[in-house]
Amino acid sequence: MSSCRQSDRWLRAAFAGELGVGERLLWEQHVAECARCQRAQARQSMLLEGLHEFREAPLHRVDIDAFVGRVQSALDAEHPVPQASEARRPWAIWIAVAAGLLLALGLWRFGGEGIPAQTPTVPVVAPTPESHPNGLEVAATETLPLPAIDSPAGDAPRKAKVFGELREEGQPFDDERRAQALAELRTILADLPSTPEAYETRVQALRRAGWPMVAMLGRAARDGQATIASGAVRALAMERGTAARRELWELREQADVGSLAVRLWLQQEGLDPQAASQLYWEAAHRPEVRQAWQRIPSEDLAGFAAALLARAPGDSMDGAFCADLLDLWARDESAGVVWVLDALAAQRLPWDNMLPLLRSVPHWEPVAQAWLTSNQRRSATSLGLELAQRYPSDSWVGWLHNQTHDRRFGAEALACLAQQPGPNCLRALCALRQDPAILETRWLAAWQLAVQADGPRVVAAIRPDSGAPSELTAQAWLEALMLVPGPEAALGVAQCVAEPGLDGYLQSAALAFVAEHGDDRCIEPLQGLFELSSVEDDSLRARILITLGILGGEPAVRAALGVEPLGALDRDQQQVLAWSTDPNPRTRRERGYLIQRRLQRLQPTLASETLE
Amino acid sequence: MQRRSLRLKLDRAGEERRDWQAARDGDRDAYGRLVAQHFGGVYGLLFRLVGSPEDAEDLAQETFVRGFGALPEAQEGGNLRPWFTRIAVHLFYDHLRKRGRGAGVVQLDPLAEQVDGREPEPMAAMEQREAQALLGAAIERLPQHLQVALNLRVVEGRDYPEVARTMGVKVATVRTQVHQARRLLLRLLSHWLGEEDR
Repeated sequence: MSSCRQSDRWLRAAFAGELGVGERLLWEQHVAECARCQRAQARQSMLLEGLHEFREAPLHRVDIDAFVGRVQSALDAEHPVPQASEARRPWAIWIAVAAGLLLALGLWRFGGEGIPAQTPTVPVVAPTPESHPNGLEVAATETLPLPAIDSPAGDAPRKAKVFGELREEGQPFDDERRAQALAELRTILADLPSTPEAYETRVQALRRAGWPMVAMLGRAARDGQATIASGAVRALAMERGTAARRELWELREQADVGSLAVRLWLQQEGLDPQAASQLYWEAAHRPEVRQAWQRIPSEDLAGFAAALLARAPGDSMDGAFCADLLDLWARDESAGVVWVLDALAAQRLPWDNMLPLLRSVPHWEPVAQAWLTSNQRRSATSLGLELAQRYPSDSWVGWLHNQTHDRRFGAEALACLAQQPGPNCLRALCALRQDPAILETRWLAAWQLAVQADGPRVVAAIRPDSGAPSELTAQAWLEALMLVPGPEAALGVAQCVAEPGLDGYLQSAALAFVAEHGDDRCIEPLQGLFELSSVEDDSLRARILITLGILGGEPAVRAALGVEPLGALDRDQQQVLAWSTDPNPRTRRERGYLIQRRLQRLQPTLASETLE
Repeated sequence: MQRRSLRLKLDRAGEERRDWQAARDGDRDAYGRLVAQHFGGVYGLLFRLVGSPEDAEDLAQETFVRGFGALPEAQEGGNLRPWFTRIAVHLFYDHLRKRGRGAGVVQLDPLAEQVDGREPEPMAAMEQREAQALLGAAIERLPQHLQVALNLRVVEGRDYPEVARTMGVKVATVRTQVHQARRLLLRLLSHWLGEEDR
């Protein structure tokens, strides 16, 4: 079997990209059998992963349009646009000559009739939805730059300017490219990516080609088939810019997609009192809007109410209105909880207003946990941890336990789990103690948090008869017990102070703890410990005797010493025996403390001197 | 499907070339489209190098402003990405020079002490964050040219010839630099990688 030293070399070679196939196999074989190297490998993977995802740029925070605007402003400052008379002189001359020729031609052609005041416009007839059931054709034809044959000659430059779509004068989009773009957009809408980033990647080519996305999506949402329309609304929600927001708002009255549009709009924009008032007024006074709202699923209505209540009380919201909203909210509270969680995870609504609403639902936690379990997004996990920290309860234990192996949130989940009330938390913690994937330092930190959060509960839970201690290390157990002073804790300490693996300093501190907080129940375990302790371990034996002297006086010391005749006792033992005969427990305790403290300050090997 | 994607790719390259030609003749709108197209790559690289979104955005803006003035120097028909990236890298070097090499560098040693120590600070013990913090600190301690090579090749996954074009060096030099960067990183992170026992 390969050694860990060799494995370390392989690990370094793997990180540097120099590990051969054969070596990798040997390394993996070793790692499979060695817990230490498994951890090292896990760390290496973590680093490599971190390297490949190093500092993901927060592109979503940058408004690219605004950035381009700033660049252009800076360019205007640094490279002023040359005057037409300077830069374009050759073109200007040609244009002037052409204009002169045209004028002369016109005068010759029209003669006495004169030039018509206005060029007659050719109306562009929009195809009806019936002729283009999916709506996309309509949008593309109406809003895309049209070939010269479809539009009056004078209108083409205006369209190009409005939409910024004509890439080159004289080379408009042809039918083939339009058909290609429509097919592409249809494919995207039918299988819309779930994240704005993925969506942006998909539509990048269309956007670069200059297709007016917002206008096309708006029309598709109004006239498209169900799948396409719904995809278009969702796509609009992923579009940047105020035009897309406005389009989404305008779609609220649409029978089929209105509720979706309102829901997405609320998620993105939140709801200010003015918009709330508008929505409510429309629902109350306009039959067509009310009709549209009637078709809204109850979960959306609950969400709508939640969004309005989150902003309440605004100027436009009177008592009756709030009561109506609460009624709406109560129709389907579970759906409302899910809606609120969704909005909170997306950070679209203020926490302070939403949380009271969330907590007004009895047993909201199970609904929230079910939602969290089914929703694996990082924002959702982060939200769950926040909720579990704010409102700890026994019900969070299961969900938190499952998160402890999460690469990103594992440590936080463990710490959060440790602070949940109730017995399940400690059971889960004890179970995790044996989990090789949980780092010991991390586990100990969580354990201390649990003790700090509720010490007596921990002590009760780790009593020898509770069944839990077998899963804890002696060190963790001692450290935990000593954080919660009291006779119960002292008894626990006395019972495990001789466990293997404890260093002398910790044993010394533990015995001092027992001497200070223990009672008669601690005597028997300490006597057993004295009997089992190695004769060579003078320091430990001296400390045990002192502790016994403090707690039980001479009888306890004598019992520990057993049948040994007094003459066989060493000098230290005789001194402790003499000192412990003091009948006054208080005096014994004071003397014992004094010696214990001195013992703690001095090296263990000097113990016999301090006893004199 | 392949023909379609190839066609889209060709269209895109053609559009970029036309935009470049128009921008070179002074068309600001065409240049705006080029900026929008290349912003993500330039900003992403600068953010990884300087670590601050604000600085990265400022440097990206400066990159595109300088790029406009230098458009006639760009190779016609060539891919503009390495060209913009090269300007960005030079601006990053300038930025470091102005700021002072060590001014913004995170010191590794204090972090290492936290990692090695057994102080029970629960949040500080989060391994994932440690890895990210240590990695960031270690990369920032690399020499500038190794940082750039590592970012372009390993983090962004660009191919060696493109990295070489961007950095103005030979392909073999880039390979050596990436290798050196990995080895240095390994040395800086070795205490955390394998020697710490639980």
